[in-house]
Amino acid sequence: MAISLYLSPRMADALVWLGRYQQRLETLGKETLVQFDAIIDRNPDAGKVLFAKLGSQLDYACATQFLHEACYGQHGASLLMLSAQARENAITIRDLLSDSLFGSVNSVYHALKAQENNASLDAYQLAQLLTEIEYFWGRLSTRLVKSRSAQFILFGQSLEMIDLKMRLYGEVDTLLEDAHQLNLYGSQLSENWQTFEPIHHNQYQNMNSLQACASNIIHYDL
Amino acid sequence: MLENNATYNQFFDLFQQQDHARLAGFDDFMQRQGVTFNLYKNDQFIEQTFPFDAIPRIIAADEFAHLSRGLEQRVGALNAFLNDIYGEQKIIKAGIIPPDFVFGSKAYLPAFHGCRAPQDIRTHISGLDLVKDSVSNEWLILEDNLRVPSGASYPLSIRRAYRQLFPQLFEKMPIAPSDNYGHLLSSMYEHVNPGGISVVLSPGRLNSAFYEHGYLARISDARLVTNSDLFVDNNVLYLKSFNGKRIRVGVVYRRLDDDFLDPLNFHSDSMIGVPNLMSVYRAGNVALLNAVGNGIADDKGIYYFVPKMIRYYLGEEPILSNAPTYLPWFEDDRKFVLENLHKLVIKDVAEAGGYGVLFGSKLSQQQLADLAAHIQAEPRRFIAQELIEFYDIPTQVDGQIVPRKSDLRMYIVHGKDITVWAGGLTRFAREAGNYLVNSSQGGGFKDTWIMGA
Amino acid sequence: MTLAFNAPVRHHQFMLRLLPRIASGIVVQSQQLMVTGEHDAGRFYDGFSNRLICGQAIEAHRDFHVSYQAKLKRATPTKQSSDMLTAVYLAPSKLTQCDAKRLSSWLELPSIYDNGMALAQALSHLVYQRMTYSTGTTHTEHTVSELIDNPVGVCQDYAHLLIALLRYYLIPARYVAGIAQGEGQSHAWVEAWIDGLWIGLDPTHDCWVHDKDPYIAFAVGRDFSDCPLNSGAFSGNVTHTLSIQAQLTPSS
Repeated sequence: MAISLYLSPRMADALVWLGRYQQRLETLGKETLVQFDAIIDRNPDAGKVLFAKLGSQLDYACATQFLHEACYGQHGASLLMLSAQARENAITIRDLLSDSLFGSVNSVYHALKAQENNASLDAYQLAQLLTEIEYFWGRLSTRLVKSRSAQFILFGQSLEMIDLKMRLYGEVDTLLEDAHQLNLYGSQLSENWQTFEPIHHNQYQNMNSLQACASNIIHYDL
Repeated sequence: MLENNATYNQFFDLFQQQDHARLAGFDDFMQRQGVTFNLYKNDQFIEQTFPFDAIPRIIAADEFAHLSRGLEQRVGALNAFLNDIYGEQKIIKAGIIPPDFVFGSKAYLPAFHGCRAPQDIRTHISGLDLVKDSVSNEWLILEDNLRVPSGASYPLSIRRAYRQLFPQLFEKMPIAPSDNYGHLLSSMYEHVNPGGISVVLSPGRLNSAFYEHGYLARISDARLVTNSDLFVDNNVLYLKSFNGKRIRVGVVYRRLDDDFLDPLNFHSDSMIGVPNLMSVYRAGNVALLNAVGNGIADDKGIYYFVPKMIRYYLGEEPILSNAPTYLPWFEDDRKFVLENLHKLVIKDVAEAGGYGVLFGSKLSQQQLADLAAHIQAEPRRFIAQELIEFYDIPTQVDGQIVPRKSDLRMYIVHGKDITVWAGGLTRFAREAGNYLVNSSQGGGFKDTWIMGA
Repeated sequence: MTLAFNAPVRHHQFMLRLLPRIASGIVVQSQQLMVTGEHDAGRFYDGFSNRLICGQAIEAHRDFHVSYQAKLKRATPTKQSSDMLTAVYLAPSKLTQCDAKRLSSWLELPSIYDNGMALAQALSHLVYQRMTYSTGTTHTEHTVSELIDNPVGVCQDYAHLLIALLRYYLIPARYVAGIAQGEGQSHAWVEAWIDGLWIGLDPTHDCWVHDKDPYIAFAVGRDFSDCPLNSGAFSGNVTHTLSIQAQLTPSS
């Protein structure tokens, strides 16, 4: 990854969203596997509960059908859609990514896409695919020198992590470590970074202040 | 006729020993890396991989040296021609090129007459198309592409996969490395840069060559941008920075045509251009790669005059020849063309990408008569060429090795020096007996191996 | 010149051809230029030796004004070899191209003429007779082919038709955009290259330019499309109206 300070608002935005979509895909993918397991013989509604938290309504009759709906269903949080979004962002900033980072994002999409119509993707394969995303984070964090582009991706990752934890678990205590990370990247990227401090029992306000902090990073207009 | 030499034999001996199951690795690589070109089919956006054949085109060391000298000479003359046409116009005054061929071409931009390019370089990146004639065994120039020649990224990226999949071939054969292309570009940027960073300006995600734009930006250490990233202030071009600051841009490797570059100076409805970019250019504050108005030099009608340019500007005999070409605009040529229409190849000068190419031998009597009438009505619009029986090269189709027509695009980078890249895009026709190798006509590509001395 | 927008625009990039051409026998004695919002616009010449003002008005504005005052003196034109070959004005251009046979069968073109001047005058007269002046047509860019079908238009169309005719006789001819006495808005006429000089003809008024001075040229080119007086791009979804007020005062 080239070390560069020269990023336009559009590029910075694409880097942040690449980080966000990768994280959303990973978290939801792992949650899908957990709920898949629960649906088999413990809690048939586990998958519905998960996706309801993200505003998507899922219908399924068995664990396999749930898996297919989670991956390919017509809703805003399908894994294929998230993967496609991550890939679109990666494509527009192809010059800022190494071949291995780009290849990792791209191959997850192609692997998901290839099985869209034959309904043959199983949970084992999905688990394998998710290791590609772990590989992506690994590649990003093992660089000796953190480039500006990597900082934006990691910023997007911590932003998404906080957002998801608030939506899925609603607990503030688990956010503290992520908030620390976010503030670290935020202060590296902006001189005017306002520290994000989550407060107890007010998810609405936490969401708002998270959005406010994030919009502080990129200046879209001169 | 199949091109053959000792090096091909060496290749096949080694290639037979390889595990051919590994060939699947090329497709994996291209899919993983998104080595694609985009197209619209039935109103749908499709990302397509460029069909690849692992059998390379092989060029011997002495042959490459000869090609290099010829291509450097040709690009030098074309650059001199462009500086002259947008300057003193000596070659017209001297009667070497009839004014009609310059001033009658849509690609000539008189509004930029007198506007000098930084370092007087206009042909920064050229892609010259050649074929090897099986009759004379000589390389012939078919086309000069001096506007936005594309395609270098395909052989460049596949080479990396090739070395990973079949290292033995590179151990045993003296194949010249081709991975210096990015460096050739970046040192050229440096030479023509009036001050600032370098960017590759792409029309955007949906452009057919978007993959290539990102790839070339990365290997040449430039930023991949679209017009919304840039703005002009006081005759200087800037990149908007995410932190609200501005960064001066000195080099724009633009991957869009002149017509779309600046809505104030060209098509006013261009949504992909940068308003007032040309004021920066007129002020000498940016190098545009390639220069504005280059289309006049790769016009199919002007092609005929390139050997004359070489003699006129350089005082040298052309090292590489054109395919034998006739201009119906000249009365003698017109007579010859009309008499021999049935065995010539007729090209419409306004078309590109293998469109507007007619093979006389494949036309009916009625079609020939229609074409003759068309040529008589608009002689300036056509050129006629003799059909070149260019070599086939061995190509794998459905597991069989068969002969296929192939051309070669070589890339020449013009910075401080004119340098021919030791690689190239070899395109092949997918059907037997087809002479059209263009990717828009369904052709595939091969790597091009230059043998070390 | 004023551009009036119906809502504020920002990041307005402009390129103007509104300064008198120095090339065509004009001497500028004093001049003053004011452009809204511009801090230091670029001054260039395009390839036709037209003067360009390039710049930007970044802040939000509804009105954009350019005012130019100058004291000009007409100099005697001298024979000079133009740096760009006049042959560029012989080739058919975007708006003047027309099938030669159609052109010659449409008009009864003179086959015998005394000299270039007489021919040019006869052609200008022919255009004046055949065309009907009307500002009512909707789109601005008629080609000469379209004019043959429907010979109705404004000064721009008169000029294009005359250019096509002059080029038919292999006389280099170019389009001139500028202002003329008695025309409140911008005007267009023609220059023909005769005996080593650019001679102005106004087919809309069927006269020689030197008989009806003053005419001030802002831009010349192969046709209208080379000579836009105002080109612009801006952010904001707006409509705009352009007006040019010209006042020419001959000095005593």
